[in-house]
Amino acid sequence: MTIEIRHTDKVGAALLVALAAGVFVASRDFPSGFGGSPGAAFFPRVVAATIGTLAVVLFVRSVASRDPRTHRISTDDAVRFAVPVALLAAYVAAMSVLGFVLATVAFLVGLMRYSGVERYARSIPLALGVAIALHYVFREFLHVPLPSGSVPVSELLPALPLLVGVA
Amino acid sequence: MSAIGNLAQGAALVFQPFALALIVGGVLIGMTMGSLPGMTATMTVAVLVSFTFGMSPAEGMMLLLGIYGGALYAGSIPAILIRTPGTPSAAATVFDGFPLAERGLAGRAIAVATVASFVGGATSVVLLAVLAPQIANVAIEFGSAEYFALAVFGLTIIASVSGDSLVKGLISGLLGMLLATVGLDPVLAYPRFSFGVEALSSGIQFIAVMIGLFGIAEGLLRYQRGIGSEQVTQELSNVIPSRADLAKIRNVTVGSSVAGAFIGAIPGAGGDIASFVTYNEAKRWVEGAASSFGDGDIRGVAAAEAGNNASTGGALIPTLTLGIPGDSVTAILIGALMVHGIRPGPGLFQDEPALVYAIFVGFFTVYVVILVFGLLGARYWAQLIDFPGTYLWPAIFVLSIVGAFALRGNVLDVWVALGAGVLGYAMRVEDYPLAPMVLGLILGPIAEVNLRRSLQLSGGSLEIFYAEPLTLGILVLAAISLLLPFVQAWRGSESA
Repeated sequence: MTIEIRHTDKVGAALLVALAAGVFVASRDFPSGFGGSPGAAFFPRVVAATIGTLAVVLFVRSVASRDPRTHRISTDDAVRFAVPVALLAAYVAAMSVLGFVLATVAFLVGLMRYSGVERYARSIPLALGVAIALHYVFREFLHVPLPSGSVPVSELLPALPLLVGVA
Repeated sequence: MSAIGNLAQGAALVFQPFALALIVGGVLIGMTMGSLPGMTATMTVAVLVSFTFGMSPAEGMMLLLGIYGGALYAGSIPAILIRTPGTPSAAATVFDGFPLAERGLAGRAIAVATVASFVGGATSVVLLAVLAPQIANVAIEFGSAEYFALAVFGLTIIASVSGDSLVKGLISGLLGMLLATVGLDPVLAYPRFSFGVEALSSGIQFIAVMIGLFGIAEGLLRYQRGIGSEQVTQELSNVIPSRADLAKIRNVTVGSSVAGAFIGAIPGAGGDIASFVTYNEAKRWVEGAASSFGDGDIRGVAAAEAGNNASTGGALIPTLTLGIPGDSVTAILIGALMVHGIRPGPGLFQDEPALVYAIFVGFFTVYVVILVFGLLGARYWAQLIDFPGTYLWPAIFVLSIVGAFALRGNVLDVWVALGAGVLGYAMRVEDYPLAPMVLGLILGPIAEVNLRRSLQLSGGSLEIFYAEPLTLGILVLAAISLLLPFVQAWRGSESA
């Protein structure tokens, strides 16, 4: 199935005008300046007004062209965009709960599976390798702790070499 | 301290085992990513910038400069072999590189591209080291009115880097400026557009936005269009240039290197613009080029590659001396330095001379490493072209997420990156260029704070912007730069 969205340029221009109007509304309580200097709302409002004006130019140009910009989106197109976005959003949300390592493994295995890597025997070790390597690099070498979450997998990682008999 | 003393201090920071390892590692990463069709230098630097947060500023710069130079150079390899530029900067390399490959001379084309990239990059770094301190000496006297004028000038460049749609380019830049107003007001310290969310009152991290715009958005586009991999059928041999070829490309390489460096110094004009300009100029001026360029002339490859890599040193001139990014990658370098509390600008040359000169020495070293690895390892980089995207893109998404998180250890930055990714995807689909948004994000705050300080100093009088010839001159240049593309478009439509 294919959906046809017409006048996307006009829709885009209208959204930009709405954004500009929103800036004016949201900045109405900003404090004013002193000593000749404009207040906190001045600069965002100048920018928003310019965006609004240019959006009107886009809108008028689109009307004048008589050839509305149209996007044809098939169900496949929509799925190919939506699945990675949904997986990314789930990954970010899960990171605080599962911690970086588990969430990353789940995300990588899921996205690789969706991308066409069907053998878990290949994707799971790869995902584990990437997640653990990044965890160590960031924590040990770069001193940037990644989320540990409520599942204490990251805490067990230092013992991993012992568990697999390397050390 | 004298320039020689500063150079010695800079060299002392670079010629340490760890810093040298970072240069080599950065070049290898950059070359690997640049060899993969569609992987831009900006994307690679954006998704890997977080690895520098735990390093010293000089070490971090070595890694990022290695990636920057390596990726820009290696974009030429798939451009020559499969007619698909690895990075947009290598697009002009396709014109003569691919016809050479079709005749079985891919090795010769890559050899020429490697030498030209080295000459272009190294020349631009020398120009950077000579010119930047002089410019910084002048700029140190600038007051807020001059800085406001410079920021406005930088923003007007948006019109010339917007491609086919000037209006969309301007809107993109303005959206960047608007995003940059989120957070504490720079004069009154009032939280703007934070809507009660405490994390937002410290502002939107522009590196998170860059990661989203250049890393996540590119990945989403790839998935939507299908993540197949390219096939390379050609065996590479003899990637050492002959003496005859070196003699043939000598003049065009040197000329394109100097021109590319100056084009790169224009804020917003990156390697893609530099390579097209130097290629076209070489086609006009080089003897016999009008008929042979486009048909496998090695001078065409040299002109494009010298120009493209020369833009890198040029781009660092406004970045280091004025804090105005020369291109998207240098915008991320500014962000990386700001994470360490260092703000590029003329003060950098007084406060951190060792770091500045380490950047000069380190970037020159980057190009020496590129020459060595390019000539010795071209056949290995060529094999990377068909690396399957099914493994690559999931990993790039993870690096993007980790990079955004590592900025402040804050999940909000990750959501910002994800939101910027979806926004960048929508903008790409609707033909809004992304580079102007980056300029807006960096230059917007500089313009605002200096405008307001100037007006405070002048008691609200606009005279401060036209009383001094320098300020007025920059503003007039800005007006010309903004209006020129419109006038050209109008005259084009009149003549058509």
